[in-house]
Amino acid sequence: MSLSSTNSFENSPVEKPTEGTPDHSECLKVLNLVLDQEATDEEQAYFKQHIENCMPYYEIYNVDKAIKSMIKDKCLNQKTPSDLVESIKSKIYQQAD
Amino acid sequence: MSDSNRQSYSQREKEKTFEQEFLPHIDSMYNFAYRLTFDEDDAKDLVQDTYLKAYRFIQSFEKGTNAKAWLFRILKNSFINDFRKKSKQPAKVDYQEVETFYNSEDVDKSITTDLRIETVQDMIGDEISNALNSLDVDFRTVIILCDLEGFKYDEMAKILDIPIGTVRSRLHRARNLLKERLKEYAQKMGYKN
Repeated sequence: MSLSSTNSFENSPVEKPTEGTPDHSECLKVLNLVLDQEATDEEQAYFKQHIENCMPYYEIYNVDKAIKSMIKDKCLNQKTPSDLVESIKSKIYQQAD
Repeated sequence: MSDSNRQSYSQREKEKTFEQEFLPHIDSMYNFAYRLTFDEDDAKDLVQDTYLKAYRFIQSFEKGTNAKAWLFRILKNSFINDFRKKSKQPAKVDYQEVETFYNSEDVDKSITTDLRIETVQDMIGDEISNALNSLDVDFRTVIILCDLEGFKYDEMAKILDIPIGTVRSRLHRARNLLKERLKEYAQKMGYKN
């Protein structure tokens, strides 16, 4: 640090988050937790407060939520072969004999 | 698993556990197997192998714990040991790169993939499904476990044998990649973003 102390940009106010300004990277870490119902009450409250005042994150959260629910609706459609259970059972009972 | 964790099952209990706790998960298991292998016969073999192993090693299954998570763990291990070797999978993901990504400034840049909610909602199932299938198997797996099957992070950590922090970072990266793919689809279809 001392080596660059002459640099006039070193302590530039824009590089430091101002107090009270929402911390986007912190919010980002919590976003998935909220989405997956893994957040603590405090994290949930922090997130809720943040997105109320932050349009981009409000949008991101809702897009992520929509994708998550679409995956569940659209990607569970692989039909299990009808003979699979019987085939497994017969192999197991053969082994048991 | 150590001997102290072994359970004792009578023959009747074994069959009852198998039929009542294991078999009801067959559809989820087959869906997972198919999304790993992309082949109906391989998926069938993988599920069958998993169930035979589950029955054979049933004394390692602790009564009252999550049978579905236990079965998924066996299936995932069978896939890695028996199936992944056979297929010509691309090189393994560099997880160091993934972790670095998560802790880097790029996160902010990447998350703002400007996909609009209307665009997502207009997509039909095939686009979502194709986008999911296009992801590398390790990223695909965390999305399947979390979003499709509703496993909690701690359960996913056990299924995948990785720390919870890695579950979180991998999921985060997987979702960003998925959004990138969906955005490509949206652009091809001419949606206005």
